[in-house]
Amino acid sequence: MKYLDCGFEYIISLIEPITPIGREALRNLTFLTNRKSIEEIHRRQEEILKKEEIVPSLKRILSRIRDVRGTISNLSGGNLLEDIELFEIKSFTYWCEKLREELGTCGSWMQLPCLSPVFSILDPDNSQTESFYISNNFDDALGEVREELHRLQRIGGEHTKSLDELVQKNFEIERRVRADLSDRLREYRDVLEEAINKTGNIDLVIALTDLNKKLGLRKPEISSGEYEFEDLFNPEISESLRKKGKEFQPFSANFGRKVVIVGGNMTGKSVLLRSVALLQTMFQYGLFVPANKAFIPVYESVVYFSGDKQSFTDGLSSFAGEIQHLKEAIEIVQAEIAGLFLFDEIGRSTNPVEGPAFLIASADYLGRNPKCRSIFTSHYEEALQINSAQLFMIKGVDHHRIETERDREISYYVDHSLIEMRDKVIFPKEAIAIARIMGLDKKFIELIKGNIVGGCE
Amino acid sequence: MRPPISVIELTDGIETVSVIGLEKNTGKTVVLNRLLREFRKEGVSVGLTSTGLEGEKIDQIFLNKKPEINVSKGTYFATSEKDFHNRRFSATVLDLRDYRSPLGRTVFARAETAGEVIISGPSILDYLCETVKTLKSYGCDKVLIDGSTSRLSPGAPRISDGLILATGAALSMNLEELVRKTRFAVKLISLPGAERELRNRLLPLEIGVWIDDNGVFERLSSSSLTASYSSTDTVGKTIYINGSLTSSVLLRLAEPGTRVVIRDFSCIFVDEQTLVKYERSGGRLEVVYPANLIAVTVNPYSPTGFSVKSRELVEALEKFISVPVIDVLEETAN
Repeated sequence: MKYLDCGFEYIISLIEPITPIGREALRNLTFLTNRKSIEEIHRRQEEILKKEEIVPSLKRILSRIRDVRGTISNLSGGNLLEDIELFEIKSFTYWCEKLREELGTCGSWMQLPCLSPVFSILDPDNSQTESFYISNNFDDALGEVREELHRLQRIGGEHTKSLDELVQKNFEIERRVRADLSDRLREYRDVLEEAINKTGNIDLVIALTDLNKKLGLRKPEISSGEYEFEDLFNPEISESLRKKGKEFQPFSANFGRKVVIVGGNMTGKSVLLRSVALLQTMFQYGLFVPANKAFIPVYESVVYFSGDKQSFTDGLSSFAGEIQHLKEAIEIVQAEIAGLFLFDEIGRSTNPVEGPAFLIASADYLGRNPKCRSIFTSHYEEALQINSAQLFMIKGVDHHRIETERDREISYYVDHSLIEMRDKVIFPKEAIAIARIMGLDKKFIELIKGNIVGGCE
Repeated sequence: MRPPISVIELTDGIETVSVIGLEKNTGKTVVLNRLLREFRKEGVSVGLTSTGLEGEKIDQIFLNKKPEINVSKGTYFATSEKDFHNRRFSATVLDLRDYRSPLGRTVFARAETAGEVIISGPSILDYLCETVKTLKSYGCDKVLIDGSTSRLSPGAPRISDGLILATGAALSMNLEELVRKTRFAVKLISLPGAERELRNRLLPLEIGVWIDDNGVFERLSSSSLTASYSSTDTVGKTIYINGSLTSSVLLRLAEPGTRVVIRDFSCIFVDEQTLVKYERSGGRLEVVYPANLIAVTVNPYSPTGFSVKSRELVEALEKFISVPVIDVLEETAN
């Protein structure tokens, strides 16, 4: 499964269902494009949350549940099940019944079918354990054969011929029992499959609620067009910063349909865009999201161009990658479906004359479909000319701090807050300031300054 | 010759017994079968498993049929799915674990009638420990482990309270050489354990060569196979080798007062002369996990049809082996 390249795989890697069936359910999660399906997954997570006090015991039971998909498909194929497989089915029904009891009254999605008829078939001695044995109660002839067998084995000595015959007879009756059991179990195939699927879903949703706790995810609200979030963070970046003893500065915004975010180098424009891409992806997979509040709509498609490594791995030059993503977005606009477009510095990989033209044209064209929303980041000054765009700026370098405090890490001097600019702004030009903080050679910096057309402020 | 001793007496007070063979066809399976038979007579409940890949039915070298193990009603055993499937008796399946072995998952079962089965337990030590624990949880008084052939039975001392060594004519056609090889194996198996305080300090250390520098262990080398350190540093010190101990490494350490500690005897890949040289120079060799050798069994017949005189062999071994020496075949006939 290939996910949008926005760090979603990292999130997926933190979801840990207990059973192989649950892991399969995780792999089968899809990008949901209708509100109802998303609401359904939300509802399931909330339902598990309400049963929080029994989650540890549910997990204990789940850890005992075997993956019997292969065995069930053997059964469907008309095969004769062996003792090990019969044990697997018995064990599965045993623990499924435990799970059903533990769950009690619950939503239909986790209401397991009653498997006690299946269990009874495999437990004629009423042992109430998961272990399986072709006991004498399965076939009237077995008791007698085994008794004689046991007697001869105890005596030992000269009975080899009759002993061999008895062993053979025992073997044949056992085979008959297995064939009979396989036939009887075949009738329960559908119920067993239903139990497998439901177990997988329960396991997955429990894993999702664990993830919510681990990352502090919140349930997003589904809007019919608005795009608001408060304290959005990126769990992956946040974790790597935490390891270095730093903190992630969360973002809050209320985005219109056409958004341009400007800001100097290293101010976090790309991180913001990536976080929005992740927010939208997690939301559309039915997950809770890394923001205190999110009120966002469902899209049919998300196009996210992050620039850097993405195009290399696809075997394209950065410029070709840009064009590819643009084509995709344009098709969505033309098809009149709802799309979210996230472009990180479009036009940057070509010359500064044509590059801004790409940006302005994209903002214009992608904004023509009222169902779509486009968010661009840029450090081209021309971005200010985009018609009817909502302009945001990331504050950037704190010049006061630079002057008063020295020898701190670069992140100390950068303020990542996102502010909406209502009036015309002075476009931030902070490349040199940042290069200086990062310790670029002073003489070299002078050389850069001398090369700026029109001089340097 | 010493008076005969019953196998049951040997294992008195010992819960987990490993049987390891110095060579294939030295009678390991015969010993196991005999133990099982005696335990059955005494009403002792037994669990059975093995280390490593011993699942082949036919001896791969001599194509002799490998004797299967005879279990009786009530014997618990852990074997591979494949070997469980080929058993010839009725059994209750108790558990199934995915221990990732080439022969499939590991089945835990109880025999409901008597019969034969090939036992092939997990090959990874941690899984074997878990297997032994599980067998005990079923209420087994004794757990028998069919150890691997050759003395390199990884971890045997760690998982078993007692060890039986099977030797025999399959090892050598020459009685003298057979005795010498067995004697050397017994010597390695009987290496003394380091004192508890030292053992506790060694246990957390990773793979590599470590030296005791005034009470603190420092790593000299990350591999035990290459001696990338100066021998002048190691004179008279305690050296811990967590990994394989080879002849060349031990020779470099041969200095008076030097003490080499290894995990257990299965880590030793040293020939007899090297060990003698090392000891003559005044070095000591100890282990973290000492093994408890409880008996040596002999099989006077080799798979090639050759045999040695049982009585002579037993007597020759008894001269230097303090634990009982038993001819497995002779005792069986009784």
